[in-house]
Amino acid sequence: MPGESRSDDIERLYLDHHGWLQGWLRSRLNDSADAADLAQDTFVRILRRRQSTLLQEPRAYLRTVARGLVIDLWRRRDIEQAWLETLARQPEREAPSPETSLLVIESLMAIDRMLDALKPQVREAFLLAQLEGLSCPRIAERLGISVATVERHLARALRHCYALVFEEQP
Amino acid sequence: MSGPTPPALPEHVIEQAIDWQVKLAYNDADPATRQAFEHWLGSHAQHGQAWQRIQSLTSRFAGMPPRLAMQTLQKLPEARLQRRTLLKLLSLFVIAGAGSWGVGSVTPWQRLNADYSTRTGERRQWRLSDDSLIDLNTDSAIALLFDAEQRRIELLRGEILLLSGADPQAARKRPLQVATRFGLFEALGTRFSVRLDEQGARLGLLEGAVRLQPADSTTTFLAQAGESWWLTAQDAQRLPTPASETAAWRDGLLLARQQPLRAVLAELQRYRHGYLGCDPEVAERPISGNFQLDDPDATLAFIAQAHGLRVQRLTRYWLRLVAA
Repeated sequence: MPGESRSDDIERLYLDHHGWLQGWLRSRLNDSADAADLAQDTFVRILRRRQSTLLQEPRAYLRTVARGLVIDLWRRRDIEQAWLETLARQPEREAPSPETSLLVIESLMAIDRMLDALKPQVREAFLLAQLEGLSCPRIAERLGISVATVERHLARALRHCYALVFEEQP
Repeated sequence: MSGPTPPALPEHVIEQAIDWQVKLAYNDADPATRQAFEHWLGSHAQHGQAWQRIQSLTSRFAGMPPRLAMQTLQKLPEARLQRRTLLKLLSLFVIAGAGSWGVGSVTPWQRLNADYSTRTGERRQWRLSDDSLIDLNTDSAIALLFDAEQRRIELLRGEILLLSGADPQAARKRPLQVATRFGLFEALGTRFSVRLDEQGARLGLLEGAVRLQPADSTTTFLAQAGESWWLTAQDAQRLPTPASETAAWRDGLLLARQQPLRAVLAELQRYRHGYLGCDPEVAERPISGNFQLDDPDATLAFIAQAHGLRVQRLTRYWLRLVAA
C-alpha cells in the first residue's frame, strides 16, 4: 500500500535528519526547547502533507518547512505581545476572557500572515474596511487619500489574499 | 494550508468578483447596482465560485472585537519596522529610551540569514568545515560563503575571533576572509578578532598577518601580530591598544585601563538586555580593572561599590549608576 511505504519514507527521513534539523533550528532560535518543538512540528507538518514529492534534497525541504515554522513562531510572539499591550490599556471590565483571547490570537495570526506582504497603506485601508466596517469615503477621509485610491487599495488587498489562499504555489 | 490547490478561475472573473465586493461591501450600493450584481452572479457558474471565495476571505475577520484587533494589528508593522531600525542601531552604544526594550526581540529575524549567531550575553565556539575555529561574542552573527574559490565569513553583527584552519579538504588554496560593510580582512595564516561597530570595524591580530582592504579604496594595509587596527570604508589605521586586549572577551573578561565610566558601561551594555547608564556627574570617572562578563549585573554592583556609587533600578531593564 502506498500509504505504508510513505510512512516508511518519513521514518527514514526522521532518523536520518532529525538531529541535524534540531541543530539547525537551535542555531537560529538559540533555545533548545523551541528547537525541539519546531523540529517535531516540521515532521508532523510533512506527515500531514498529502503530496509525496519526497525528496530529492531532504534537507533543503526540511529547512524550507522549518523556516516557515520559525517565522510563525515569531509572528505568534509578536502578536501575543501586541495583544497583551493592547489589553493592558483597556479598562478591566472590557477585557476579554482568556478563551476569547486565544481565539482572537489565532484569527490575528491568519490575518497577519495574509496581509504581511502588503504595503502599509494598503494594509491599513483593508483593515479599516474589514475590521471597523468603514466605507470607502470614510477610509479616504481617515487616510487623507482619494476614494479611487482607497478602492484600488482594497482591490489589491483582496487580490493578494485570494492568491495566497486559492492559488498557493506548492 | 494543506490539501490540493483548488481549481483555478480565469483572471477576469476574479477581478470582477473583487470589483463587486468593493462596490457592494465597502460602498453604499444603489438598487440598480445590486441588480446588476445579481445578474452577474447568476450568469455563470464561475461567477458564483469566485464570489464565494472572496466571501470566505473576508469572513476571517468576522467575530473579532474590532477595536482591539485593529489596535493589535496596527502595532505589528511598527514593531517590525522598529526591529529593523534597531538592528542598525545595535552596535551604536547609545541606545536611547524605548529602543532598548526591543533589543531582546531584535535579533531573531536577522538570525534567519545568519549561519551562526549568539544572543545577548552568550559566547560560543564552532569549528567550521575548513577546520577554522570561530568564537562569537555576545549578540553577534555571521553568514558563511564557502565555495571552490573562497572562504568568506560575513560579519553581520558583533564580534568574531577566528583561528584560521588549514583547509585540508580543498583541492586548491582558498583565501580566508572576514567581510564587513567597511571592507575586508584577509587572513594570512592567523588568529585574529574583528568587531563591527557603527562607524567602522576593529581588528585585533594575535598571530600571523592580515591584509586589510577598505571597501571604497584600492589601497591595502598589512597588519602584524600584536597590532590592532581600525577599518573604515575609506581607510585603515593602527590603534594604540595591544591586540591581546581586544580578545579578552574570549576569556570572559572586560579590561578597563583608566577608561571613563560611561565607556565601561557602554561596553558592559553589550552583554545584557536593556539600558545601562549613569548620571552625567559621574560619567567621566576613570575606571580600571578586569571585570567578569558572565554576570554583568554583579560586575555593575562591583564597580558601584568600588567607586562609591549606587545602582538605581528604574525597571529590571533600566539601570543607572549615580553617586551614593
